[in-house]
Order: sequence, then C-alpha cells, then structure tokens
Amino acid sequence: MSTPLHVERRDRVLSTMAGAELDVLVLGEQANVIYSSGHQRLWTAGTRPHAPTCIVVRRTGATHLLSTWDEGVPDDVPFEHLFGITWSPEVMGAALTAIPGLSDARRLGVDGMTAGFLRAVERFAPDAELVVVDELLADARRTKFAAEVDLMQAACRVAAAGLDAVEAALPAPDDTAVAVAVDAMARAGSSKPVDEPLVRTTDGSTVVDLGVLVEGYEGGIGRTLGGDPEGTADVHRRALAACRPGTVAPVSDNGATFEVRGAGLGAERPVVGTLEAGMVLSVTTTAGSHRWRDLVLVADEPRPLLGGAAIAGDG
Amino acid sequence: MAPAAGTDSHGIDLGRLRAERLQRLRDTMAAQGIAALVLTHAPNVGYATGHRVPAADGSVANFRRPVAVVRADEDRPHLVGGEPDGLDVVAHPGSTPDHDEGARALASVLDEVLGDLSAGQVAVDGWTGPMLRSGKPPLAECADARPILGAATICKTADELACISAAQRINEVAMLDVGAELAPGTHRSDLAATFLRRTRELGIAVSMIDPIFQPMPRAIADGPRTTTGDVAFPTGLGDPTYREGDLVWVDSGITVNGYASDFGRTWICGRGPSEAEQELFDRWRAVIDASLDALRPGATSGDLCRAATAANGGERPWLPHFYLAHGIGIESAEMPLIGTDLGEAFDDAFVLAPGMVVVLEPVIWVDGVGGYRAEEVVAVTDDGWRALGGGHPYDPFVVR
Repeated sequence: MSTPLHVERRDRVLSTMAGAELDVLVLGEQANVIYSSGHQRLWTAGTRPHAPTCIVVRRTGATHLLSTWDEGVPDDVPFEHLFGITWSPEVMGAALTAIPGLSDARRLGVDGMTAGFLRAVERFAPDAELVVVDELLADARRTKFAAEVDLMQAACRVAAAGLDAVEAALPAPDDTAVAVAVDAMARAGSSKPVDEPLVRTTDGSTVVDLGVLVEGYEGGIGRTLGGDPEGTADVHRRALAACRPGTVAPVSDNGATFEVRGAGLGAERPVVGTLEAGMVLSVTTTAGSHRWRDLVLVADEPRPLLGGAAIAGDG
Repeated sequence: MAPAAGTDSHGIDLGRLRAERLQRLRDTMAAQGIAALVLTHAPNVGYATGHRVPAADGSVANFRRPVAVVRADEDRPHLVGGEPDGLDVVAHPGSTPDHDEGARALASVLDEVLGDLSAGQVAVDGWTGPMLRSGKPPLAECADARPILGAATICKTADELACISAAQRINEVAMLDVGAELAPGTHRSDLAATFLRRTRELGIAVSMIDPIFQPMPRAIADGPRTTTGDVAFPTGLGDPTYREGDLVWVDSGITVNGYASDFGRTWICGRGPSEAEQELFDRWRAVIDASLDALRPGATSGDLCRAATAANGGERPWLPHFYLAHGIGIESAEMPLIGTDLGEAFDDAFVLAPGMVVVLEPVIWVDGVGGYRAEEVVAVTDDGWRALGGGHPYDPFVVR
C-alpha cells in the first residue's frame, strides 16, 4: 500500500524542521496546518486571525491540533493530541504547556504572531528562540506529491463543470451566469471557492474564470467563450508547454502577458526564478479583454491538469 | 421602494456608517491610551477604512489584503496597498504584508506615519511572517489591538444593525428554497448548491462559511468524539445523502457591506417531528423565551445564562465548547460571548448595553432522541431587544 498523503507531507515537514534545526512548529496559516497535519475542517472565507492551530514536535514526530472533535483528523493523530476550542488564554496556555517537547523547545518556528500569543509563548516556552518559518514551509510545499496533483486535478474538473454550465446558460447576464456556475460547481463536488468567480461579457465574448478547493487543494480554469480572433488560445497553449524544469516562467508572447503563480493548498506566491519538476503553476494568459487560465504540472512533458485537449477544443 | 439618496441598495448610508465607526475606533483608542493601530486582519482593515477584500479563500484573501494604520490624532486612516479608490483614506502604495516586498513598503510607511511614537503606544492585531522578518512594527514592544477592536465594535451603530439585519433577511429568504429541497435521496451538495445560487440571485457575493447541512447522530456516542464529551458541531465532511427522518442541523452566514448573518435551524428530512423530537423544540423555544425575557440593557451575561438554564430544568442548554450566545458584526462570532469557558465570574461582570447584537444558539439534546439547534439574532435596544432579519419559520416543528 502506498504511503498516505498526510504521512508524506508530515515527513517532509519533519525533515524540513531537521534541516533548519527547529524543535517545534506552532502554525496558524491554513495551508501549513493542513500540510503538517492532514486536518480537514470547516472552510471559512477571508483572512484568519492568527491562532496556534497545529503544533509539530520534531523530537516525538507528533502533531497536536486545535480541535474539539476528531472528525477530519487523520487516524494516526491520537485523540489525546487534540486540544479543544477555548476562549480562555489560561486554558489555552495550559493545553500548550502540556504538549511534550514544547516547553523545553530551543528553536520554535511560527508562521505569524499576535502580541497576546507572544506573551503566552514567553510563559510556556520561556527559553525558545522564535524563528519565522513562512518561507521555509512555502518552499517545503512547493513541489507536489502525486496525490496532491490528483486532488488538484479533481478540483480542476469541478471548476470545468462550472465552466460547462456557464457555456450552456449563455447568453445570460453575468450575475446570472455566476449563480449558475457556483450551483454547478457545488453539485460537482465543491462549494469552497478559491477566489470570487468571474464572468465578464464584453463585445460578444465572455471571460469565465473559476476556482474551487477539494480537500484544501486548488483547481481552476479560465476561458474566453465566443471566438478567439487573435489566436490567444494558441499562445496560452505554448505558455503551458513551456513550463519545463530548469526554465524561467514565461512573461509575454506575441502581445499576450502571463501571470504565473504557484498552486497547491490554495493560491501560492508568484513564481520567480527557475521552475522545478513537480511544481503546479496557475498560468493566466491575458490579451486585451481575453483571458485563459490553466493549472499545469511542471515536468519535462508539462501536464495541464485538465489535459491538452480541453484547451484545444474551445475558444 | 427606491433607496433614499446617498444610500446603497439596502438603504444603508455607507458614508455615515464609515464615519461613525471610525470615530468609535478613535474614541476607544483614546480611552485605552493607544496612539496608533496597525491592522492586518481584513475585517479590521474594513472596519477602519471601508476597504473590502473579495469573498475568497484565505490563501487569496491574504495576498490581496492591505494594511490599515490609524492614528488617534488624525481624521483619516492610512491604507497601505489595496484599492483605495472611493475610500476616505490616505493611500500609500504597497502590497500584501504576506510578501517581503509588501512588508518592506509597510515598514517605510510606519517610519513616516508613526515615527514620532514609541512602539508601546502602537497596537497591532497580527503579524505576518514577512512583518516579523522586517521587525516592523516591533513584536516584543507593541500592544495587542484586538481588545481595542473588540471594545469599539461591540455596540453597533444604526447603520451597522441595518447591515446585519439585511444580511440575515437575505440569508433567510435563500434558505426557504433550500429547505423545500430537502428530501430523502438529496445530498448535502444539492442543498449547498441551491443556497449559493439563491444568495447570488439575491445579490450577495460573500458566503462566510461553507454552508452546513449536517445530518446529526441521535446519540453522542455515534458522533465524532469530543474533548468535552458532548456533541460535536459544526461538523460535516464529504457529501452525505439524506434519509427519511434525518435531523439536519443547518448553519450558514453571508455578509452585507462586510457585516455577517448567522442562520441556524434544525430540519427533518421527509417527515414531521415525532413527539419526542417536537419536545426538543418546545424546550428550545422555552429557553429562547426565557433568555429574551432576561435580555435588556443592564442585564448581565450571567443573568441570561441563569434564565436559559432554569428554563431547561437546571441543565445548561448549550454546547460547552461554545456559548449560549455570541455577538455578530464584522466577524461571524465576536463579543459579547455569553456562557463561554471564561466562566461565571466573567459572565456576571459583563453588562449588556443598547446596540449589542446577541445571537442565541441554545442546543437541546436528549441522548438517543437527538438534538434541536437553531439561532435567533436580536439587538439590545434602550428598553429590551428587537429581532434582526425578517423572521423565519421553524418547519417542520410547530410553535405550540
């Protein structure tokens, strides 16, 4: 049996901790929490106030989670490693103090902070040096395991179902088409948006850009419906085909511009520097009012997650 | 009826809304001896400046967020990055504090705008990794801005109450169609689809949470295991198919102008309630009535908790990891928090005042029968309370 995804990811986090000589991670950012723990929980929109949500201890290899119940928690995280929702800083402090390996941590990694949590850290881990790990973990998450690519492909298919529904509903006012898209995507498997869905009709062509999450992983698609006189779809296809390891992400081609960012547990940062095998990129090609977007796996034979035919067939 | 001049489609005067809440923020800063705020959490930035980030996953919202810098002695707040058009702010070029480049831009604005202040006079609601790396504002020296936001936002202005009420009403209207769709064989995804479509059709773009339509266990032992030994909620993974007789706990929230609704009901799939199920609702109703009877300015949270508990035969009618009631506004749950693990002394010391919003969410649970949970959203008035939203039926339960 292959290694479960949450174990693959946790092992990568633990080896990242070893490389940076970090004793403990105290994480609050959603992507880092899911990556380190495999915990699936209720999706909420928008920025989250920072809170200690997932604690990883290198010495024990254990994950501890802020959760009152065990639904969505991987089987190999013992129930005793859950600490419940609380409104009391004292209760929270006591729960954290009780985690083996936390109070004697020398190097403690954090991905965000509040003044209140700093005071708590000073109590439960008084000797710890705080290390900012947002970049370190973003780097750890950058190249994807096969199971991550599978989830992103599943999310792309949900987004494509939304696109199909919009295409079938046209002509329609943009707002109506958006309502059709969110309905179709929820029925196809996700009611969790990555971004505000876009349907924008100008001069007879309609730009559609949709994105959803499946188990926290991003999928998406952008298309321009109603003709492609400038041949931008071809330019977009060339950009996707250029996403090979060792190259630099494309910037512009024949009047079109490209926006390239990482994709994974939600949107990742814009890509600068050399592409690596196993990265998944969101590539947006814009020319005038037209726009195409696909997720593509960086490889010697770059693989758009919806397949090449999906791009060739429309526009 | 067409909205009055200067108001939005809900009849809300956005200019007045923004001016009044900024004044409350500055008054609270003065009262707490804080000279400046640095705000990164999008609802707080919105409260101070009117800036709104689209309804998006946190990963995208983080990368779109600007930072607000508010001085108690200046009329206009500063906005670093974001989209300042149409806002009464001092705009500074910048980008998200989730990138090093944005954190550097923020650091230079902080030098320029707050250079005459000591770090101890500055309160911050949260630091991103890049802000921690830049060292500005300095983590070890600044105060926590969250108590200031909590105090400023706790009593709502008339316009804020109008936003919450409009959000609640639209949330309720959307749920009428969703409730009608629940039947044996339908899936959670069908109900979520209809809800999201209807809210869009009603002009709402923002769903605060992935809407919950959770078929609940009848006994605690059949549900997820909890650290409290009580019922687990809000829960829900996968895409359950409903069967006749499922008790479905519903929870959702949308926003109008950045202000949240909170809709909670219990539905039954495909049939009416049994007598034992109806009795759950009867007790829930009695707890609500007793809580509302106790709700007036000057009452304490402790008074509400005691009234609710007495109406439930001496047993606390709420989930121990949550509360009897919570406030709502720019967050789905904010102060006042009534009946939390902060304890009775905290509740007894907390005095309710006009303008506070109270979302009562008692839960009646009889192990083996199941549970009834719903939410009532009211505002404290000068002499009692009034309901927000338009009211929503309890079908298939009967008020008797």
